[in-house]
Amino acid sequence: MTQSISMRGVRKSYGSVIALDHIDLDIRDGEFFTLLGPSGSGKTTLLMVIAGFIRADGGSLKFGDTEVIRMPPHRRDVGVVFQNYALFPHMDVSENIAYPLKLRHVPAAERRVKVEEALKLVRLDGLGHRRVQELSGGQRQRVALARAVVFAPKVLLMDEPLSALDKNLREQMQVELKRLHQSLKMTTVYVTHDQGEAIAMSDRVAVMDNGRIIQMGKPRDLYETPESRFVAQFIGESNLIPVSVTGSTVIGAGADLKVGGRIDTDSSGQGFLVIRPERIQIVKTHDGSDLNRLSATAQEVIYRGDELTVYAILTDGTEISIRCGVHHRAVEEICKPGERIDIAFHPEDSVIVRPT
Amino acid sequence: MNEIAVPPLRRDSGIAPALAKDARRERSLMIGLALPGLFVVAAVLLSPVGWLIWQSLVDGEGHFTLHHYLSLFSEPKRLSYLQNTFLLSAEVTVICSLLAYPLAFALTVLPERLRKFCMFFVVVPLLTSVLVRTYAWLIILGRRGIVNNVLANLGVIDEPLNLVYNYFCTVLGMVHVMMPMIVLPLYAAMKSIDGDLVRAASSLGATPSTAFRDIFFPLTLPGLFAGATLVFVLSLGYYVTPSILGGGKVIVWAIFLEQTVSFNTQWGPAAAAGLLLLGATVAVLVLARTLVGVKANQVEL
Repeated sequence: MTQSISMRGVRKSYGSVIALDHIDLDIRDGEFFTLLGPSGSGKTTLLMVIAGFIRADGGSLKFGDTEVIRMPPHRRDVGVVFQNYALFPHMDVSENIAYPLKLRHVPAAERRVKVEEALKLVRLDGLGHRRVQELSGGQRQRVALARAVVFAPKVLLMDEPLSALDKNLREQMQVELKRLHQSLKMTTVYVTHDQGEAIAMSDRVAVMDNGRIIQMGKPRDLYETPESRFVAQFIGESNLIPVSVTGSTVIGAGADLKVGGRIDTDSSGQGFLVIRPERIQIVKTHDGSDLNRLSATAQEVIYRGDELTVYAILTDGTEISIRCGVHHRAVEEICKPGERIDIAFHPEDSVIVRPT
Repeated sequence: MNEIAVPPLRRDSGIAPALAKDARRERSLMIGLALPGLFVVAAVLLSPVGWLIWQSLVDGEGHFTLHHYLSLFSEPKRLSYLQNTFLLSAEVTVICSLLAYPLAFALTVLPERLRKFCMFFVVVPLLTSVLVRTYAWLIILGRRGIVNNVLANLGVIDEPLNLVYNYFCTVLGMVHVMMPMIVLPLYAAMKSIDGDLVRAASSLGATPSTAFRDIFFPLTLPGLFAGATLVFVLSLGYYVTPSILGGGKVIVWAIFLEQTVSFNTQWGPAAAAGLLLLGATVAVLVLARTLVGVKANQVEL
C-alpha cells in the first residue's frame, strides 16, 4: 500500500540561505507529482527532506497519518532513484535488487521470485547476473528503479532520474516510467528541471523558485494559465508583451487588445500579456474576425525541420517569436527580413501577469 | 545554385609512405625520450641487484656455492630475526590500519578548511626526516624525557620509567612513521565513494551500521589493502627506528643485515640475507596484489 504525503510549514535554511521557505503541500495517494524548478530552487532539498536525508528545521511531514519528520531514512520505507543511479558497484544486478529484501529478512526463495518479477517489470529479464559496470546508462536506470520498487515502499522518490541519459533514451524512458507508474499506482514524487518532462509525465506539477512553491496544478493549467512571469517563462516558450490595463481596456503594442484569460497587474495597471509562439498566426490584413491583431516587422525565419520559427519586432519594439508548420510555404515568402507583417491571436489564448 | 570552387585534388597522391615515415619518426622520438630513464633504472636498480645475486652465489675463490643461503638457515637464531621482522611488521600494519581507518574517515567528513588543516598534519611527517621523528620519541619518552619529568613532578613515580629501548617503543615509533602511508590511500578510497550509495542503502532500509558493513566498508577495502601492503612492505626493510628505539633488544632483519655486513669481510652472507628479504617482500607484494586485484576489479566503475 502506498500513502499520501502531506506537509505543513516545512522549512530549511543553510546559514542565511533559505532553501525551503514554509512549504505546504499535499500529494495524493497514487499520484505522480513533480517538483519543477531551476537549480537552487529547493526542489531537491524538498525531496531529500521527504526521503529523510536532510533534517528540516521545522514543520510537519506525514506519510498517511504517520508523522515522519523525525524518523531516520531507513525506517521511512521510501524507494529513492538517484540521479547517478547509486547502484552498489560490488554487487551484481540481482544482488542490488535483492538488497532491500534481504534487509527485511525475506526468505531466499521468495527473494528470488520478487527479484525476477522486478527485473521483468523493468524489462531486464535474464540480466540478473550481469555486473553493474557492464550495463548501459538506460539499463542502470532500470535496475535502480527495480531496486527502489521491489520492496513495495510507501512512496517512490526520483531525483532527476533521466538527466544523465541522452535525448532519445530520455524520451523512451519517460514513456516507460509513466507506464510503470500506471501499473504500480505508487505515490511518486519526481524532481526535474526539464519542463517538457514534467508536463509529459505528471498528474500535477509544483513549480518552485527560491525555496517556495510558485504555482501548482495540472500540466495543462500551468502551461495555459501561468500566474506569474516566472512560470510563463519557465514552462514552455512565451512572448511577453508589455501592456497597461485600465478598467476593461488593455492597451499593448499600440493596439486595443482583448484578453480572455486571467488578468493580474501591479497597482498601476502595468503587466505583461503572455502569448505562446504556436498560438500566433500570420494573417492577411483584411481577415475579419474577433482576433487580436498587431502589426510587426519580420526579422528572420528559421527552418527547424518540424516547424518554422519567425522572429519579428512589434511596433513598440518587443521581440516576439511565432511558430508555424513547415507546410505553410507562403510564410517564407511573406516574412522576408524587414517586411511588414500582420499577426493575430485568439483572446482566449492569452493571460496577463504582473511585471515581476 | 552556386558552384563551389574546388582546388585540384588527387585521391591517390602517393603521400602514404611519407605519413608512415612521420609515424615512425614520432615513435623513435618517444623511445629516445624514455632512454635516459631506462638507463638510470638499469644502473641503480638492476645492476646492483644482479651483482648481489652473483655475490650471494660465489665463495671467496669465485666458485659457485649455496653456502651463504644454507648458513642463514643453519642457526635458529637467524631465522628468529626473520620471524621478528614479519611479526613486528604485521603488528605495525594492524595498529596502523585500526588507527588510520577512523582518521581517514574523519578527514572525509570534516568541513573543507578544517580538513586541509588536519591533512597538513598527516602529510608534514612525510616531509620530516625519519631520524628527527625517531629521536623525538627519545625526547618524549627517555629517562629524563617529558613524560618521566611530568610524572616525577606530580609525584606519581620515584624512579624514571624505562619507556624507550624496548619492543613497545619500537612499535610506537614505527606506527608513527608509517601512518601517512596508509592514511592517504584510505582517504583517497573513502573520498571517491559516492555519498548517494550510503544514502541509497539507508533508503532501502539499512541502519547506519548495516550500511557501513554492507556498502561503505567493502568499497574501502582496495584502499585499505593498498595502504596496509605499503606499510607492511616498508616495515619489513626498516632499519632506523628499530635500531634507535629498540636499544639493541629488537633485532629485525635489517639490523641483522647491517651486522653481517660489518662483521664479515665478504659480501656473500649479507647478499644472501638481503636477497632473502627481497624475495619475501616480493612474495608478499604478489600475494597482496592478487587479493586486491580481485577486490579492486569488483568496485572499479
